[in-house]
Amino acid sequence: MSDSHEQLQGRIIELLPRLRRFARTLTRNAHDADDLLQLALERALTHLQQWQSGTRLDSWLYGILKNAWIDELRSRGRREQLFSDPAQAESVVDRTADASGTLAIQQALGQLPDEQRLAVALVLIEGLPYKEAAQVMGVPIGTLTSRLARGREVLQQLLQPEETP
Amino acid sequence: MNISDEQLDAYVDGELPEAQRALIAQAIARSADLAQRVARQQALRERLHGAFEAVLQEPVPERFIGLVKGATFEMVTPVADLTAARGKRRLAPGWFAIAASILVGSIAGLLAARWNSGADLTTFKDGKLIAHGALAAALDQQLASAIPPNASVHVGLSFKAKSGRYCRTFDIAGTEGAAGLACYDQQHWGVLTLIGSPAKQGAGSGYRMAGSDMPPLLLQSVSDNISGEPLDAQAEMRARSAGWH
Repeated sequence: MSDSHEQLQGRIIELLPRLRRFARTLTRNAHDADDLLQLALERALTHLQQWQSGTRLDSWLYGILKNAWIDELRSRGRREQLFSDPAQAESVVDRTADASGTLAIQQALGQLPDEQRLAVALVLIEGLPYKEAAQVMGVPIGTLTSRLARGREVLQQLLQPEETP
Repeated sequence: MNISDEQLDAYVDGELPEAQRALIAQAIARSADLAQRVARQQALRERLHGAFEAVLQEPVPERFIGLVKGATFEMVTPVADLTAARGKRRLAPGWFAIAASILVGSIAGLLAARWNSGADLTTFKDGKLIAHGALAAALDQQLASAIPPNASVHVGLSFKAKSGRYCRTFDIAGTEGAAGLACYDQQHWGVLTLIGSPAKQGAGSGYRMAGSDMPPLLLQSVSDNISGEPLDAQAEMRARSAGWH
């Protein structure tokens, strides 16, 4: 049985906090994240009839948000690579390390290539199964897992505690 | 047993079939090195998850809920292009606007509920949003030239509208922050425009109603309604004495 329009609205509203988190992970900026969510919601609501009942609504919405993000990156004509010098990147991570490490993590995520950040966001933060995450990204599962593995490795290197001599 | 990083990742991510999972669990139990590798990946997962957990606890801005429910929100910066939106936001930081004419149904309910829970500054009468409590009192009594230092509501411009009614702009200090335009209609200040700021700068700082500081949609609303010039201090005082009639 398919959802009524109202039920669907209710389900989307329930997903808003998670979609906001996903947008925040991708953009690492609260304002940009909400702009992105706005854009994605407008698209999703316009194409709501394209969502197939019986498939995961969250994955469908994550996919739209991901596409909006990629379009945004392309429209800027460049990928967001704030630091090309790894040494400089590490110093920023050190300087911004706070008690919970949140800033450090956000900075570290910023070092990842976009496709790795996407894999990390979907699986490690949003908790999607590989199959769903691969669908959102539009890649085979093997591609997802290799991007995820590379992303993990970079994050481990950036976030590892300093060795005490 | 030789276990690849990829297998260990899949183990940590809960992606392995039960039989494989059990085998790897046994191997981990026998190998300090494996146990350490798993612990390292689990710790990363937890840190990442923890770093963004707080976002889930943040209240979702009403404009998103309204959007899903099909309400029409008039955006100061329609988001068709994020870069352009960011550029405009530097001029009008974080403002989004709701014209009172579309304050109906769920949006109005949400907004009133939020405000009522905190400051009780607006209420509904005959389906219209009207000023209430401290907001109504300020609109009734406050003079722009003599705003009490700790006032939570600041009245800005007062003017006579094309409709012949008196109208006043206001801003509300506090964590949510808002600004708007209300016009006196019989016994109430009807709220024509209400603009919320998700990121009010400097709580309690108040919004100086110089034209350049006004949220664009509020400025627009004033321009659309005003007849002639804003009231000067004396005219404002006379209008107050006459009960805004």
